Amino acid sequence: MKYTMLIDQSRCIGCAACTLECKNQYDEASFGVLRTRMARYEKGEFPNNVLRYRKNACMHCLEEAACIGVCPVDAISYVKHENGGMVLIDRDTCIGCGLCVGACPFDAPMVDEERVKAEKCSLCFERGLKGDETYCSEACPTGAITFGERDELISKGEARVSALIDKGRDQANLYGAEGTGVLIVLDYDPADYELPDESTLAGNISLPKFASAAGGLTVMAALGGLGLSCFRKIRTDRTDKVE
Amino acid sequence: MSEEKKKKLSFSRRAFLKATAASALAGAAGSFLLGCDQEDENGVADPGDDVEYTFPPEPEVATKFNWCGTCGANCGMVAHVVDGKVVRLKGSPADQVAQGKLCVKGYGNVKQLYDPDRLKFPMKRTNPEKGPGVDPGFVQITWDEALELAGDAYNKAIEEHGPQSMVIFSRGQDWLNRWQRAIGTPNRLGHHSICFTTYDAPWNACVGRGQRPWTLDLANAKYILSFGWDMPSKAKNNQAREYFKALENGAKAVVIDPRLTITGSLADEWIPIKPGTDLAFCLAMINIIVNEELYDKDFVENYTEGLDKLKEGVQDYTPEWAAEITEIDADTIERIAKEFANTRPALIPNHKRDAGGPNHANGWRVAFCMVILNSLVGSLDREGGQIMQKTPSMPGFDAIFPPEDDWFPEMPKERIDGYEKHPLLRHGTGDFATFADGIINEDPYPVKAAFFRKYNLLAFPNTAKAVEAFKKFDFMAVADIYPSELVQLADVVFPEPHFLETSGLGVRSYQAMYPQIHLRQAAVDTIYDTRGFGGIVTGIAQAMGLGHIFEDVSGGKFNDERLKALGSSWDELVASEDGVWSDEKPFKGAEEFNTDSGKIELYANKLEANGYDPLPYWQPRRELPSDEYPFYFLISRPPMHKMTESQNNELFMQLYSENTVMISEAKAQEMGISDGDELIVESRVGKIQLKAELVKGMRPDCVCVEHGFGHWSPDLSLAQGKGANDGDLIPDVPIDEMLALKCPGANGLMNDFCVKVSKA
Repeated sequence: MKYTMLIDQSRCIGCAACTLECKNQYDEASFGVLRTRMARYEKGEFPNNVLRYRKNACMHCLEEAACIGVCPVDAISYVKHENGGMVLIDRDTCIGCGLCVGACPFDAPMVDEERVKAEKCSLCFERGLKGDETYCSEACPTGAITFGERDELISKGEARVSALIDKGRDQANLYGAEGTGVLIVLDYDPADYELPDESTLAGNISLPKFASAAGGLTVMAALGGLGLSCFRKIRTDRTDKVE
Repeated sequence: MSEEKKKKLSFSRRAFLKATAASALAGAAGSFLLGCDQEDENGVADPGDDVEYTFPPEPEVATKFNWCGTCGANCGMVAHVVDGKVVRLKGSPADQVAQGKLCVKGYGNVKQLYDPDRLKFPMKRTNPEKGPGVDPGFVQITWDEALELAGDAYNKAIEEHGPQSMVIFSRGQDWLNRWQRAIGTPNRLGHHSICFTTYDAPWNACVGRGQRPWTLDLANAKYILSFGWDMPSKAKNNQAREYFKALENGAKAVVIDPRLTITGSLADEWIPIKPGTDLAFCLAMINIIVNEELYDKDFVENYTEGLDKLKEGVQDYTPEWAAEITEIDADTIERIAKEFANTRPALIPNHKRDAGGPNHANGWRVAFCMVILNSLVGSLDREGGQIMQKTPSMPGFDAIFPPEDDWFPEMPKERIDGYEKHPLLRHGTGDFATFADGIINEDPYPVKAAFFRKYNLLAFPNTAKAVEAFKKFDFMAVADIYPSELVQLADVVFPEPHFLETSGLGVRSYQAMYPQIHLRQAAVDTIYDTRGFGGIVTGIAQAMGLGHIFEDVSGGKFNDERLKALGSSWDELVASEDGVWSDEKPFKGAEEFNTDSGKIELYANKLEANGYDPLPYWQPRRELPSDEYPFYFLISRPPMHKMTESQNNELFMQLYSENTVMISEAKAQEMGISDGDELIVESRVGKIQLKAELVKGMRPDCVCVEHGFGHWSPDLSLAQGKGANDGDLIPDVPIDEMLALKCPGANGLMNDFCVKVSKA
C-alpha cells in the first residue's frame, strides 16, 4: 500500500500535466477550481537568474494540520497509516466556508463557490489503497512525482538531494520530512518557492474555531479572498470563470 | 456509527486505516475498515468504532490504441473508454518515444474530443460580406450540398481562370496530393517556411536529400549546447525526459537564449545572447575548433569533406569579433567552443523555431553552422548526436493505387507565393510569408478559389493582410474540427472528426531510434456529422468530376498494403497486444551520406551551384532596434498550448488562459510599468494590447509574447477575447525581398522586426 508522495521540483518543467490530469479525473469541481496547481518562481538579478516551478497542492501535514483545527464542522480529518497518511475533507460535511483556505500555510485548498465546497488534493487515496499511483504521478512526463511509502520516499529524496549538491546545487534540500506528509526535493531554499519554514508548521497556526456554520461563512469572505489572492502570481491560476 | 455514514467516507478528527484491511483491497473493488481512534480527556486512545468504507464499483474500462495527433511527435497513446466515453488518455508503454507518458497537450485531448463548440455538421455562409466581426450567417446543409457547392466553385474558377487559380492551404496528405495533381494547380501552401525549411536547406546540401531528421540522442550526450532549443519548456514529452537523463548522467548543458526558460535554468549555464546574433557565436566556435584542430579527427577525415575551405572561410570570425556582435565576452565564447569540442558526445540540439529556425534573416546560416559543428565533433548519426531518419520503407499511395497517365495535367510552374524560385526547396510546400501580396496584386495571376485544412488565420504573419487576401477569393472552403477565425471567413465549412474518432497508421519519424509504426483505432464512434479528411477530398473530387482518381481507393487497403510490405497486416496489428509494429535493432551510425561525395559536405557545393553562399558567412539580422521601435520581439509557446488550436479546450484554459507581454523587471521599472498594466505593443504593420508580465530572466531590450491567443471567433466560447495575436505584429515578406535575402530555406522572418511598447 502506498500512501504518500515525493515531488522532485528539480525535475519539474512546469508543464502542469499533473494539474490537467487531476482536473480531468476530479472534474466535478467548477471551472478554475483545481486541487493541484503550478506556481512559477524567479529570483536573482539579471543575468544571474533562476527559474523554478512548484507543484502546489495539499501537503498532507502530519498530525495537527491547520485546516483541521479551524474547520467549524469537523469535516477535515487526518487519516493515519503506517506508511504515511493524509488529510481528507468529508465532502458531505463541508460547508464551503473557506476557513481552511485561510488557515493553510501552503494556500492549498480552494473553495468552489458554485458548489460551496472546499477542494483539495486527496492523495488519490482510493487509488493508493488499491496499489495504484496518483493520477498526477502517472501523468508526469519527467517522472518528477513518485507515489510510495514514506520511509522509502525519504531515502529517495535524500539521495536526490545529495546528487544535486554534488552537481553544485549546494542549497538543495528535502522539504517535509519533519512536518508534512508530502515530500519535496528543492534546488533552492524553501523561501524561494514561498514555502514556510518547516519548523513553523506544527500547530502554531491557530484561528478561532467557529462552532456554527453561519460564523464560518462570515469569516470566509475575508480569509477566502486572502487565500485566493495569493494565487494570482501563479501563472497557471490565471483563469476565468465560464459565464 | 450509523449505517448512513457508511460509504460516505466520514471521518472523525483522528482516524487511521486498518492495515489489516490491505489484503482485502487487492481486487478491483472492495472495502476497507476505517478505525476511528478518539482520545479521551486524559489523552488515552479510545479505539472507537470502525467504519466500513466501500469503494464505488469499478467501471469496466475498454482500451483502444491511438497516437496523438496534437504534434508531430505522434506519441503512442492508449485511450480508456468507459460506457462509450473516453475518460482518460495514457502514453503507450510500447512506444519507444512515449514510454507510457504523454505531454500535457496530449492528455488534454480527452476534453477536446467533447468540446461543445466543435463543428458538428456542414455549413454554408448566407452573408456575402466577410471579415472579422462580420456574422457569416452560417446555416446547416447536407454533405451532398456542401460537396457540390465546393466542387462547382472550384470547377468554375478552373474553367474561367485556369487550374492555378485554385489554391490549397494544407499540410501534405496522400488524398489531397492526388487531388491537387488532378486539378493541376501548383499552389499548395504548407506552413513550412515559417517552420523548418531553414533547417532543411543546409541539411539537404551538406548531409543529404530528404527531410532533416527529428531525432536527438540527448540521453547519451555529455555536452548539450542549445541555441534557443527549448523543448523541455515546451513539454516535448520525450525530449524533456531525455534532457533530464543527460543531466543526471553528468552531461553539461549550456543554453544560449535571450530569455530564461526552464531549459536554461536547469542547465549549467544560461547566456542571454542578443537576439539574432547566434550566428556570430557559432562562427567563432568553428574558427576556434578548426584552427586549434579540436575536432574529431577520425570522423572529420572519414565522413566529411571541405575542411580546408571551411577553415579558410572562417578566419575572420575570431571570438573577439563575435564578442562585439553578441555582447558575450570572447573568453566565454572560446571556453564554450573548447568545452563543446572536448566533451564528447557533444550535441547542438535543434527543433524548429530556435535560432536555426525562420526567426531571423540569418537563421538558415545558424542551422548550417549546427550541421558543421555537430559534424566537427562527430555527432552526426552517432550516439549522443543527431540521428538520421529511421522510418521503415513502405510503398506509397501511388504504388498501392496506381494512377493512370492521363489523370494529371501538366502543372504551371509559377506559384502565387513565388516558392518555385527557391531551387533547393521541395516543390509542393509553400510560403506563408509571401502569398498575401501575390493574391492581392494578382501577381502573377488571379486566384479565385481556395481550400483550407485546419490552418487558422492566427497562424499567418500580418493577419490583417491575410484577411485582405482571403477576401479576394470568390469562394473558400475550410475543413477543421473547430469554428476558427478562418472558418468565419469561409463560404462552406467541412467538419472533421477528432483524431480519437478515426483510425489509421502512425509511422514514427520524430525521436525514432528504430523503425516503429503505431495503430490508431477509433476510440469512440463519431459524435457529430463529420467526415474523415480522405472522405472529404474524395467527395469534392467526385463533385468536380474527378471521382475516378479515387476509384478503388480506401484507407483500409492503404493501411493494410503498407503493413503487408513489412510482413504484417492491419488485422495482425489490431490483434497485437501493444498496438505497435517495431523493427528494433541496435543503433548503427551511417557509413555513407546521401550527397554526391557520399560524405558530409562542410563546404556546400550544392548551395554554391545554386547561387547561395557555400559557407555560413556572417550576415546580420534584417531589422535592428531603432528610436521608434526600440525592443526586440520574441515569440514563445506555453507548454500546455498547441499553436492556435488549443485555446478552446477547457482543461488547457484552466492552466493558462491568456497571454501577456513579458518585459524585464528592470526595463518595466524604468518605464513605470507594473505587473498587470495594459500595454500596447506596436510593430510597423500592426499593434496589439496585452497585460504586462514582469519577468526577471530576460534581456531588458526584449519583449516576449506567447503565441496562440487573440481569437475573435464568436463560436469559440472559451478562447474568444482572451489575449492577443502575435501574428498581427509580424510583417509579411514581399517576394522580391525574400529572394534578395538569398536564403535557400525561404525564411519567414517571424521574429526579425522590432516593436515599441507603451501604456494603454
